[in-house]
Amino acid sequence: MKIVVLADHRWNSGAKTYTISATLSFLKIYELLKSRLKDLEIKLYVTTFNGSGGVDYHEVDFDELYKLYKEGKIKEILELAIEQNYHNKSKKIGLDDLLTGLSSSDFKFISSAGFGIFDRNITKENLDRILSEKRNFVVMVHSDLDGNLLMDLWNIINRNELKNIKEETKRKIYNLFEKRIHKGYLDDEDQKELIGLAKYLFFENNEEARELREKYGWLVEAVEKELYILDKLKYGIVMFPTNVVRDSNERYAEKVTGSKFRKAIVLDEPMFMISLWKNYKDEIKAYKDYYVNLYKEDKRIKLIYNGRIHPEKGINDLIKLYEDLLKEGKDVMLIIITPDMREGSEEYEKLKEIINKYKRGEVHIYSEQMGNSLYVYPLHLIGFLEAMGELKNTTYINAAYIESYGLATLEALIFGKLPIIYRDISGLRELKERGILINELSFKTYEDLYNLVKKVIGEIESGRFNINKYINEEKRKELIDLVDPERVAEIYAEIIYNYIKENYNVNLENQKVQESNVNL
Amino acid sequence: MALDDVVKNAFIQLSKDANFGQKVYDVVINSISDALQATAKQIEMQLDPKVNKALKYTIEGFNTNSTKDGIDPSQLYGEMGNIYKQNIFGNSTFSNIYLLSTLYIRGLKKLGYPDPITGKREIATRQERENAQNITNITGELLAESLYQYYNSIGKNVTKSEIMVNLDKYASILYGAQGGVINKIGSYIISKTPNISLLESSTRLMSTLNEMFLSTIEGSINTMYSKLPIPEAVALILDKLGQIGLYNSTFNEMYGKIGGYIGQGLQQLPQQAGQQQAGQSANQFRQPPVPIKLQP
Repeated sequence: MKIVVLADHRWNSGAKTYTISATLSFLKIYELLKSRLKDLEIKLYVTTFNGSGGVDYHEVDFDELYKLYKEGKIKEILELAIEQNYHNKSKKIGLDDLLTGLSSSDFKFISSAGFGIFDRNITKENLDRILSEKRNFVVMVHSDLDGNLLMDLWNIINRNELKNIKEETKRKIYNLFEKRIHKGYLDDEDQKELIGLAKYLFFENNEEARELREKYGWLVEAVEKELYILDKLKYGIVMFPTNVVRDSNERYAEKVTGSKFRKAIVLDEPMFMISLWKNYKDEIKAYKDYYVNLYKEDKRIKLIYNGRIHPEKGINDLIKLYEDLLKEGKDVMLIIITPDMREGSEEYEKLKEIINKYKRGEVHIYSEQMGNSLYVYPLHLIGFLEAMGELKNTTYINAAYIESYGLATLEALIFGKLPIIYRDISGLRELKERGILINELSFKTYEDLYNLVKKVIGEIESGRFNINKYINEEKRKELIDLVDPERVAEIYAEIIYNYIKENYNVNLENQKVQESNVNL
Repeated sequence: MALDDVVKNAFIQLSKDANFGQKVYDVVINSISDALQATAKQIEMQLDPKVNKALKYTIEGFNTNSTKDGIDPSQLYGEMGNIYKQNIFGNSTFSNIYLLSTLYIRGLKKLGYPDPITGKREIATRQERENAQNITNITGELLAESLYQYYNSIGKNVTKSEIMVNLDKYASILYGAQGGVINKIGSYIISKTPNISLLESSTRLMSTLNEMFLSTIEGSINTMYSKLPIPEAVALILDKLGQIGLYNSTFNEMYGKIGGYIGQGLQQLPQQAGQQQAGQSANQFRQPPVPIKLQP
């Protein structure tokens, strides 16, 4: 019985964090299923970008990873995954090998529905081989694809590179964007309008559509492939992190492909940080002490932003917020944790300008691009968040416009026990509805964000701040259990086992008993 | 006269035309040179840790582990480079033979032959197998010739055909010598420190460099072959390039580029309290990153 995991490591985002966590879960899945499925073999394939803009494929030595797992070397496994994309335990393979491996498997797990996008090798014919009518696959869909498309269009018109774009087209995009922020998702009418707009821009033969296609051909290509993949998903099992993401994608898929998902599952995403947190408490304490020492003398209130430097993550709102606070005389510190801030970038320069203009405030940056990431060795991040929580003068802000699940936000909640001020959208709204995030700290508009931050700052300054008011401890503990990769593995294992039992028409338990009898 | 004789005679005339020969030579060599330069540019990108993340983390690991051990990373890198160069390029007669043997065996492995040391078999794509076939044809030819000339130079009476029959055996032994250089570097590290993390990160760094160097030569052979798909012709050019020190210069260039990043990236701890804590944890744990600060 051969199970294949396809892990997309191309993007430094929540999708990669999820992929690494899911891979960790698969080590447990192997343990859970090897006694139940005869000759179980798990193959792990990883995709990465190469230096020339193409995509490389690698086959990871799963047995070696499992050996490390059995020895309790979780940190080593994660170092391999995060720092090297398993480089030292893998070999580069070709497209043919990847396709053969995937199409010859009995079951496959694909960590991201975007696996074939921005990869010219993965043609429609190749997708047919991977996502076949045999229905033997699970694909994780992390985000609402309609929201992604809308965000791409919004970003494009905000770049002001399209000379021929009509005001009416812009207005439609802005309107849809506003609606999405207001509601947290796109309803049926909005989706129809978005699809109409996309069809118009991608296919019509007029000046504005031609210009968009000419300058942003990559978007047309990506959306076309995304829709093709979406259509294929009807054969297999589709997994979502939240109901809002499932609902949004189900409605969108039906409109653009005419087909429904056969089987959709909503499940909390595993978080590898939990495995680290459970297993390396002493080491985390050392880092926590380090950061407490680093920050304890500075009594200023601290705001944490954790995410990519991109408008969709709300970075512009955050910078505006920071400027408004400094302008008002609030001497607060902003801590930015990000994979991609660079010295000299627009946002970096803007922050520098603000600090110099108001002669107060301080910005601390932890950025992979600048060589001081807290994520490369995640125990650092856990220690940092614990330290920030202990200081009791720190607030976490998530101003993103799209958030399918909010892994970084949940890390701040779980490890830092920090008050989370967040935009009331999609995945975050669902976390609110589940009681994991606190209703009182949600916002929709910039004004709400500003007022909320000022309120929390006021409470901290006056000594009235009580974290228990902003944390539902029971729900937090429940969450820790739900996102534990070991627990998630049990659920995934059942999904896979049940599929195999139903579709391969074998009585697996009996087979096992018979084998035991023979051995006796 | 048969048709093939017509063609043959025509080409005999062409071959006697020195001016024409020079023109053809110029076209071929310029074309290969352009293609090789383009390949070199691509490879150069892979030497940039900002582009090649695996390299970045390998370098960072080496920097961190050597500094933790109180060893200057730049100095250690220099010492490792010296061991590598002495073993691989130190013996001018045998240097090319080592390299050709390694390329030949790596090609065979891609074609499905087991590794002569570990016995492991590799899975290669169709494209990789095609490339490997060309590389084994070219390097096999050159290796046999080099060995034949070497044995003759030391007075051993052996024919090229006899060498060809046992080429895999010669190559397997010499391939081990190339791979063995990393073990030599490992032995050197062990003689300096019991720190296994430093041993691993040092040998990882040198293995990465070794692998990039070999891949570069393989890539160059494939590029030449794509422009001039005649193994004998590519073998001639490669032989000449080897004689004028292409391999050595290529390695030195790569070694120097990576060396530019050695010793960088470690940041000093910001305050006394932090230093004590990190000092305590440095032996067991990884030094936590410090923030980059924007202040008025």
